[in-house]
Amino acid sequence: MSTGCFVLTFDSTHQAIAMEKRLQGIFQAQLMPTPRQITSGCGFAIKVKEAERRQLDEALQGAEPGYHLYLLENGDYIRQ
Amino acid sequence: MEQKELNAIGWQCPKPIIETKKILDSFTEGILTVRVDNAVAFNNLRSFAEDKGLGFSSEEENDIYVVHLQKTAGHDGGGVSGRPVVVVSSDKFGKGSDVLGENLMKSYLYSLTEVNPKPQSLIFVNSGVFLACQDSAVLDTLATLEEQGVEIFACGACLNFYDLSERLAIGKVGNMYMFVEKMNNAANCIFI
Repeated sequence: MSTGCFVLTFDSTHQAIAMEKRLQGIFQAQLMPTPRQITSGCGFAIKVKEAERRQLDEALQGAEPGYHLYLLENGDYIRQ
Repeated sequence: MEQKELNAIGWQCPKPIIETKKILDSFTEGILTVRVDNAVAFNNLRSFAEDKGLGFSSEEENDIYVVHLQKTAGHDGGGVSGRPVVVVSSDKFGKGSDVLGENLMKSYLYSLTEVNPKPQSLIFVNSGVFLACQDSAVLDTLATLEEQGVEIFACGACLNFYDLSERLAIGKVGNMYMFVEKMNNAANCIFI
């Protein structure tokens, strides 16, 4: 997968689907399978371009807990 | 063992593939080195090599891709393709919740962009054609797959049935004869 992007993972599939719908109205969020390197969470993840960090932070304000944000850098997923 | 070079710089697709195939068909065994100057042609050559089971290596020199294709003795260079044909017969993946099925489909198609080998073709039939039409949520993903050398086809009868003929946004229109040939010639056919 391309480097320099954020990946959101979720505790439940319902949360992932709801978040994807929520983010689509703000910027392009790519639904994808949860990367194999990240073992926790449900099967869906959302990829967001690094350049969208500010809008992502705004969108996550007030979101229910149960999501986890990672930065993909040089092949490593760094928990944010 | 033969060795030939093909300078395909400045050529637009599909000419590099057509000329490459012609030369390789004339080989019993040998290495063909092809020079191309764009990523689309490079990706198509890589897909062609995977498709035909040819040895593939490459290097990049000053924005020129140098591709080495090796054909070994006893290889007929055609016929049954090693890359799968994927037939998508619904706009949702699996039976059950529509919402879950839509998101599973997004996840499935995105996954194809990241794994190898890529399918040689994606064939959309029945309500699957919605995925290749305007307002589909997976158009960017399909465009990436196309850039990676995956052929995309939508069933013409299905587009007509759903009144989508004017709304096809990616890929080519195909008919059942074409799909049957592609399925019959594929070593592996996947139905979604």
